[in-house]
Parts: sequence; C-alpha cells; structure tokens
Amino acid sequence: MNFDGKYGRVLLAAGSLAAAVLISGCASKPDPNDEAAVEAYNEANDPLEPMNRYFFEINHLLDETILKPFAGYYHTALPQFAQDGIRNALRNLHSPTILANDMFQGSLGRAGDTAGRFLINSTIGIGGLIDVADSFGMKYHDEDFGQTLGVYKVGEGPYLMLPVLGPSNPRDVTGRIVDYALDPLTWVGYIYNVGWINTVRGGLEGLDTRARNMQAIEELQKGSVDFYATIRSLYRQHRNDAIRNGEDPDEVIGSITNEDNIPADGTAAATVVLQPTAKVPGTDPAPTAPGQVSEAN
Amino acid sequence: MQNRRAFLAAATAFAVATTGVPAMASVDLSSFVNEVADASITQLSSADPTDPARAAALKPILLKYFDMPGLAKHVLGAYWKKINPDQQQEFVATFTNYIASVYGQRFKQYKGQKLEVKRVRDEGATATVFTAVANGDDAGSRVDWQLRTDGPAPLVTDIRVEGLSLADTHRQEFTSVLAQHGGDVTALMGILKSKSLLN
Repeated sequence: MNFDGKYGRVLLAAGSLAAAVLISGCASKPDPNDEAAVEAYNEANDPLEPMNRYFFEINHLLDETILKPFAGYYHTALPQFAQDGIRNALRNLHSPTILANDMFQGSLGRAGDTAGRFLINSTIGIGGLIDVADSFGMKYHDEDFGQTLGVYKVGEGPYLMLPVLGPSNPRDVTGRIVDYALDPLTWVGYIYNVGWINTVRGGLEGLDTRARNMQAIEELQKGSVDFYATIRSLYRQHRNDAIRNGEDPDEVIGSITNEDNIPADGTAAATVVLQPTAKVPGTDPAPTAPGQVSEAN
Repeated sequence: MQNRRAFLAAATAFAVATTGVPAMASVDLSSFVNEVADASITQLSSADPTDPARAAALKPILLKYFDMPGLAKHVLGAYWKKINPDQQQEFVATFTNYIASVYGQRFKQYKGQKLEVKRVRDEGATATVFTAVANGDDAGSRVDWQLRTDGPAPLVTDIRVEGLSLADTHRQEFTSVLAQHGGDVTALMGILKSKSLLN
C-alpha cells in the first residue's frame, strides 16, 4: 500500500492510534490462583474492558452534553401523539429488515405479521405514522441479523462498547452490517445521493429511545454501583431474551445446589440460588467447572 | 434501551394487585406472588412519600418474602466463599438495606399497574411464576418470579423483567466492583452503604 498521499498518512496515523488503543485496551488477566477473580473475569467476558470503559465514558459525555438535553426538549416540546407517530414511522421503516430476518429464522407467522403491518400501516396508517395493524392483532416485534445469528447458535464473542453506537459484540456488529445492506433505505440513500436520510433516521431513533427512557436511565444510574457493568449485563441479558423472542426456555432452569453454595464453615444450610436464565447455547462461554478454573484461563 | 425500561419495571413488579386466574395445582404459589405484590403496594403506599420511608417499608417485605441470604450469596459469586461467616452475615444485612433503598425509591412510579399470573411451573424444589404487569396503554411487561419451595414457606430468589434478572445484574455489577478492589468485600460494602438510606 502506498502511504505517500495525504489520505495515506491520515490512514496510517489512524491505524497506529487504533493499534495503540487496542494494545493498551486489553484487560490484564487476573492471577490464575485467585479463583474468585478468574470467575469474575470469565463471567464478564470483557477482555477489552479498559478500552470499552474509555468509550463508555466518551459516550456518557456525548449523552450528557448532546443527546440528553435534546431528548429532554423532544420529550417536553412534542405532544405524546407526535412522539408516538414518530416512533411508529421509524418502526415501519425497519419492516423490510425485520421481515427478512423473520424469514431467515423460519418464523413464517411472525413474517406474516411484519408484512401485514407494513402494508396496512404504510397505507391506512398514513406512511406508518399510525399503528393501525396493532389493533388488528398484529403486534410489533423487533428482529435483526444479530438475533438471526444467535438463533443459529453463533456465539456473541467478547463484549464491545462502540463509540456513539453503544453496547455490542462481534456477532451484533456483524448483524448491524448485514442489516444495513439489507435495508432498502440504505440503497435509496446511495442511488439518489440522499445518504443523509439514514443519518437523520439514526439520530431520531436515538432521540426517541433516549426520551422514552429518561427517568428509567436516571434511576438505574442512581442505584448502580458500577454503571458500566450494569449496562454490560443488561445488554447481554436483553439480547439473549430477544434471540429467544421472550420465550422461556423449555428446560427447567438448573440450580446450583452443590457444595459451591455451602458457606465456608459448612454449618449453614445450603441455599438454592437459581441461575435465573437458562443460557442460549453458544452465546456464553463454557461453564467452568471447579478445579478447571486455572486451566480455563 | 428497551432493556433499561424493562429493568426499571422490576420495581413496579413488586407493586401490583391482581385478579389472576391461578392454575389449579399451583394455587398456593400463584397466591404467594399476589401476596408479595399486595403487601408491597399496601406497605409502600401507606409509607411517607420520602425515599427513606419507602426503603424502611420495603425492608420487612424483603426479609419476609425474599431469600435474602441466597440472593446475597449469588451476587457475590465466588467471592462469597472468601469471606468468613461474620462478614457473610454483615454482607447480607448491607445488601438488604441497599436493595430496599434502591427499589423502594422506584415505587414513586407506581401507577396502579395490575399483575396477572399467566402460568406456574413447578420444578420440584423450585418454581417459576410467570406474570404480566399491565402498563396502561402499553403491551405490558413480562415478569417472572423465581421461587424456592423447599422450605416451610416459598421464598423469592429472583425476579426477571422482560428476561432481565435482578440477581444476575447485581452479580455482574458487584463482582466487577470487587475485581477492581482486589476482592475486598469490605470496600464493596462501603459503596453499598453510601447508596443506602437505612442503617
């Protein structure tokens, strides 16, 4: 590659910066003899934690200075029906990608709902502003290619905090790229040279979501002792739930009732604590049996 | 983002009355969940509308209906075994105060939501009660109650709202703090106490 040009130098500089961030961004692995620290490290599945935390801080700053104030205006200035109309229209625009992913997952019933919603809401619903199909029993559901990969047992990979875009992982990044290519609006943007419509849409989506969750996020942040870890955990659980379409897994949830749960002194009765969700296969690191902990590291 | 809203609804999950139609074989577990919800609403709505009063009103409900020692053990992960029984006792107490403080505040948003039991799954020593909490115009939230049923009375071991587990989320959060503090549970308790409105 020729790095003589202006762009070449910029590219090189950007590349070195990214490499520097990556190298310094790797979390130092815990002492293999410290069983508790190893377990915490494995459960977190976040080898890039320092880098992720860095972007989390930047995103937080962007949120405080830009997104949150705008969302505040949006929330107070626009009447509820207008906010609902905007959300309905944004959801309607996603219908083609949702439909494609319904079909990829073989969910024909849900694909029918999505197609029906798109036809009804785009016409009777005035370009998607009114969710008419909902009252016909065709409820909105979300679907994306990250979930499709999850359905096909593709593991999530390590946690990632993306600049601006927020929490993710390699599987969901891949999903985003595929969804972007699947979305007719992407091509409308390219072909008619109106790429800004996708930027506006993305911005509006961020604004709408932020505005709707103003109080929830504030409460969550207030009660949390490590907001970064809270978001990491919630993101994963939410994605696993979305992959299952909210269905409870059929298998009875395994409880950890072994000696692990008996206190060190062995006097207290063993307490059954449920592992609350049966994990989606392939999305979690293999459980580490006691005794294999140091090997797993 | 939806996940955050759903997580918040964990608070309102406590706070619900019901006309649920329980399954015949599991009437007791279904009515147990209703009892927890009713008790929470009654106690929290009669409390002074201040955060400390709400926390104080929620605490006895946690102690009566929730497996607080089990939850405390779960949220510490492998760090639980590294502390002695006295510290374990202290952690259970600190954790209970923290939970009462954080979730008590969220009852501010209770607006008369109703809880409906959808299904009860008996799992032997444990059980799951699947409920839906209606949020007015919204579709409503799925709230699953994990219970242990091996004692004289059922106890709540976890609440999942839209698939988000209260126990797992706090576990991730606490073990992350502990990893940053070299496994010092006393440091974690200090942080929890600073968020707590109870002594």
